[in-house]
Amino acid sequence: MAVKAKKRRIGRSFAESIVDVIIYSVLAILGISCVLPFIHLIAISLSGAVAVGSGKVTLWPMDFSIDAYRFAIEHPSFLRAFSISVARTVVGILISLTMLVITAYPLSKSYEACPPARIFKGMMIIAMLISGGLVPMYLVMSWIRLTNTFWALVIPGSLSLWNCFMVMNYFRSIPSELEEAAVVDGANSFQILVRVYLPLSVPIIATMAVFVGVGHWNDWFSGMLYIARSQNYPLQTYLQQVITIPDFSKLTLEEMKKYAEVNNKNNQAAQILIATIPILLIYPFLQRYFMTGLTLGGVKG
Amino acid sequence: MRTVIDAPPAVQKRKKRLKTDYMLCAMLIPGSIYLIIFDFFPLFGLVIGFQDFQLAKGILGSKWVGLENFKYLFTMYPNFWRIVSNTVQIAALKLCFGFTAPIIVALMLHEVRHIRYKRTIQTLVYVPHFISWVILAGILRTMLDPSDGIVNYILNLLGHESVYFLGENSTFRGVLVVSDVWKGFGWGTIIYMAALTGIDPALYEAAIIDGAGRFKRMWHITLPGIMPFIILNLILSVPGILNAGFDQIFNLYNERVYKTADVLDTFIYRLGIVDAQYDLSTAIGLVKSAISAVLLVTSYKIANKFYDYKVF
Repeated sequence: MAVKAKKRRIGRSFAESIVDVIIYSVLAILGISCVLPFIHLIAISLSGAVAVGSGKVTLWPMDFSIDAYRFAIEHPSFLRAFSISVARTVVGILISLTMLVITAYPLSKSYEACPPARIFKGMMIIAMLISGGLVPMYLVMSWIRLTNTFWALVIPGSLSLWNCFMVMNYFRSIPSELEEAAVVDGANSFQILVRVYLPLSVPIIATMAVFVGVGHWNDWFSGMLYIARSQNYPLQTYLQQVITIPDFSKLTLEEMKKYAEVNNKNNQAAQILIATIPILLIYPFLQRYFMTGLTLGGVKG
Repeated sequence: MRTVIDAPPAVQKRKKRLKTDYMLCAMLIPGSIYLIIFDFFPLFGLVIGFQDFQLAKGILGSKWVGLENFKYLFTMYPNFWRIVSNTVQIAALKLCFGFTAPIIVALMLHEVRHIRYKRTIQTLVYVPHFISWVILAGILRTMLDPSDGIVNYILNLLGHESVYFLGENSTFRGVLVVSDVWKGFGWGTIIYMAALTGIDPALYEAAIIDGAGRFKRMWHITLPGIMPFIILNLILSVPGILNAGFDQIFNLYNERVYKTADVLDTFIYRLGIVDAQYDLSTAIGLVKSAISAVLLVTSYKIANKFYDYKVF
């Protein structure tokens, strides 16, 4: 290490310093480019409507005003969508984690102990390879009466097969001596899972919770596909309706007025930002767990 | 890694005494029900693609028409081949740029010696990955607005006329590719950064002693160090060639740009859900799914053979 540092200091020519400057500045530009759009949006959300309409707001608010945020938090359909999203994220995480753990555990054991695991893995591979697609899935959902219910948002997708493999690989990395000790004490498989495996699997479970939680918070499509009434939309589906321009010819005058209010640029920006805040709040955890999640129980080479 | 290899035999030895563990088997019940309902029922639903399907008559009552739906789509349906070509073109463009950008950025990050600076940049570039396309589309629409968007404001300052980026066939694909690369490049560096930490520092020391300059070191040590990951990544991204990015396109496009931006997934959605042409929509979905499955198996086999890549 010492040799390297010394050599570098001596060997760094003028040309190499220039390269350094270029690399550092390109990276700085790239890094800033990833947050600049959000700063621009913050500026818009805090500006007066007239200033926004003039298109001159850049990175700092003009005619400072918090009306847009007041509009958002006083707007019943926004609040409702927000709370539906919170509920589906919490419930979705709970259901998904239960499904993942309870499915991955038997799969991590030998086929002698659990013969159906062989068939189950075959089913998983088929399911990963080919899917019925949009229409058959929709028809199945309406056939089992899940459409237009809250459960349509949390049950499909609750067992991600890819995540299941990751949890399975993690379980396999836990030394079997611990389990043998529990067997001697007379514990059954379920007790071993809950008392021995789960406490040792906190990193992978936290990672999965974060994966699933972000997925639920960001999902808009299942809301649009399975939920007919817009007052039951989760937040991202609600926002999707707000940002896309509807067919004006089909709207009544009353609806047009309402549209103009909700879709006023400031209000739109404030609503988008409020939807982003939860992600930014847990961002430090996100970064940590996503990184470990990619190495933990991941792909074996 | 050692424990991973050691675990199964030890487990097997014990299980032989215990024989089949029924509680363990019972734990697979919820997962099996889930797979049957949400994966296998829709697979049976694929037969709709071979029927003149009518919702009132159901799958059992609808008339079978063999390959009529496919024939109609492939030979008669207006714009079908344009949609296929749009899909492949957009996906290929995204793959080209979205694949190389993370490699270049990772190589640059590797050259940064100030750990704090490196961490800060990494923290910033991961952000867009976690934001949904709905929100990003909202931001893009705001920024690219032809009348009061910031981008056109800057263009006007530079003496250029305003451009309706999301409404012109000439610019729409550019917006798709740039915004997709922007969203993913930071996240894409992670796998390479992990690989780069695995390179033996002694190699660099030896190279410096041998008088190798910075680019020589990058070319002969850093790049070969991550090459297996680059190729593996490339092999595994090929099956996505029919996925042009539904979330992104659906939230940005409009009728004016269907000519260049309408892709298989948006078409399947409109045909199936908006126009209620269930049989046609299912038929295209089936073809797409089948092609993807073949590509997936092939690329997995290749990755498995040359790089010992395993999921199970």
